Amino acid sequence: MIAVNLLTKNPVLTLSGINVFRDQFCAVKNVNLDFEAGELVALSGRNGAGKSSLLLAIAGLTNFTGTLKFKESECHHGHHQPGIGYVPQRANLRWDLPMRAIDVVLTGTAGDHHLAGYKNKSKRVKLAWEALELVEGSHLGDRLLSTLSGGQAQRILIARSLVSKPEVLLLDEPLSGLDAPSSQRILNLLKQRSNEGTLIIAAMHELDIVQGHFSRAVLLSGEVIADGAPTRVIPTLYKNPNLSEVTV
Amino acid sequence: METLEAIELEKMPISPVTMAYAKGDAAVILDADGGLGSWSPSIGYLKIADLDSGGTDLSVNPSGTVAAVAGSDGFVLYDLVNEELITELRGQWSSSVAWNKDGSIVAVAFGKKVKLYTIDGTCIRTAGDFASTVMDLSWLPDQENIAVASFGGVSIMSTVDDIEPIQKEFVGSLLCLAVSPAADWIVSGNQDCSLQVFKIKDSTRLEMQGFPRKVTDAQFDSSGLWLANNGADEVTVWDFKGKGPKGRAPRILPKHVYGGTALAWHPTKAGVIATGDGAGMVRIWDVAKGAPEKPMPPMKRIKSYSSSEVRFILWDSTGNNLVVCHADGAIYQESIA
Repeated sequence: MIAVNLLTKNPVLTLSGINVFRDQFCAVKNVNLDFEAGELVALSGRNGAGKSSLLLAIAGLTNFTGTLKFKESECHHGHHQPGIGYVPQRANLRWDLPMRAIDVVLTGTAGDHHLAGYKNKSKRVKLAWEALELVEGSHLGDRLLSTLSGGQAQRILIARSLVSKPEVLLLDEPLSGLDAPSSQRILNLLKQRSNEGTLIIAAMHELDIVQGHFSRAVLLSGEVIADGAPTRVIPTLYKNPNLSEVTV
Repeated sequence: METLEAIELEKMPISPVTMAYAKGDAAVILDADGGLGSWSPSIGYLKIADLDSGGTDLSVNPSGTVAAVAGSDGFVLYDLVNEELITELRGQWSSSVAWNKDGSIVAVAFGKKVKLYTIDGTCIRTAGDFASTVMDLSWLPDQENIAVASFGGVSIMSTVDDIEPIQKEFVGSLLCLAVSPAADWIVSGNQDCSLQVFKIKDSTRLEMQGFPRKVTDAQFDSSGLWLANNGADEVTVWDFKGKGPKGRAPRILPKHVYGGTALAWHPTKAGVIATGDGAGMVRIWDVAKGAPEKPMPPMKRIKSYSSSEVRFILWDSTGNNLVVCHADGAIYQESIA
């Protein structure tokens, strides 16, 4: 029986018949996927393939139909699941707001009712600094957002999502706009969290990085078109390069 | 397999970002910390100024006297002859600077805007409120319009008339731009590992998806017949003759370790290009002699003095000499017979 138990998958996240809607438009349809703790998963596909939409649905931030389960709990649109952290695309945020990095990280505690209230303020601040430490960003805490580099800003966003100690970490294009050393630093961080049991799901364009660093790739094009080890799944589009006309 | 004949060379104490020719055989070099320096084969590297802003782009006017420098904290116009600051504008990310052909105006990407400065440092125009930080800009051959890359596509904005820019839409983040010499094509390399090709006169758009890496460099040769881009271990060269590259398989320049990190077309010979890779290799190719789809051999290999990434390659105006600059500060000039 022990062997059976070991062989049985124990998904931390289950998507069954998921259809994701953005402004009445179905961005992704009929997604059926299981994810286990510690997996490092890349969602790949061209622009408009549904990567960001699927991440938003898992984070509870957009409308969807079907069944989405985080462990045994069913997730719904509009209900923040404390065990799921979400890191949006850096480019979509206002980096000119007069906030310090630590203030941004602190907002990551806002959805956790265990940490609510004035009495817990010092606890929240302590957790925020601990999260900054995890991303090697303690020295950035008092810096204004507008003074951070792209890589530093990305680490702050990840720290914000780590404050609540999520079991699932969703990231939308975490390497977007970063130079090679900054990208490597973020990848190391994700690998470390994954090794410690966090399920990481990241929307990724860089196929060579997916092949070199991720344990699983899910290819999207309005639906799941492939799922498995990156070396098997990543399409070999470049083997036959061709400029095709796009109908506008 | 090719081996690297690396010979120890005195290295510049900087992390170079880009360089451009100034007067004579001196190159101006911008480093990652915003330092501006000069290098020539006879004198070597000399620091000119610390501009206190992480360097991102550099453009020197055609007479080689004024450098426009873009950086993480704005833009600087610097007099290379008198070694003094002409003007500066701080507080926004600046990704790109470009002088027009006669060197009278420099276009500056400043946050989400484009600013135009005269050579004496006077700002004569601020335009645009683009969807994101402007990532690249390039003058069109008419010297009246500028192609601007930002999230959502390419905008062609007039520098002389107050009219709405012409939009070439593409949903994604653009990283680099190339405008063909005859002003019929604009090409963008993109964050989503694609190459987008826009016809300027109509709404035709071609794309190549699926490069293994982001396409960060795309350049037309002097004839406008060839376009090279990085984004894979091979450098891809597209044939733009006649009606353009649609349906034509590209030329493949193989064996670039960690991709083509530096591309530089010969200033006068059509189809001749120098490429550098992540392992320090530099080769020269004549793409007209290759066949579509088949990996072609290089025309010449340059002896390398460093195994670190080739950061930049610069031909002199005659096309007889090539300056190669590596990420570790190694820099040397090779004569190309």
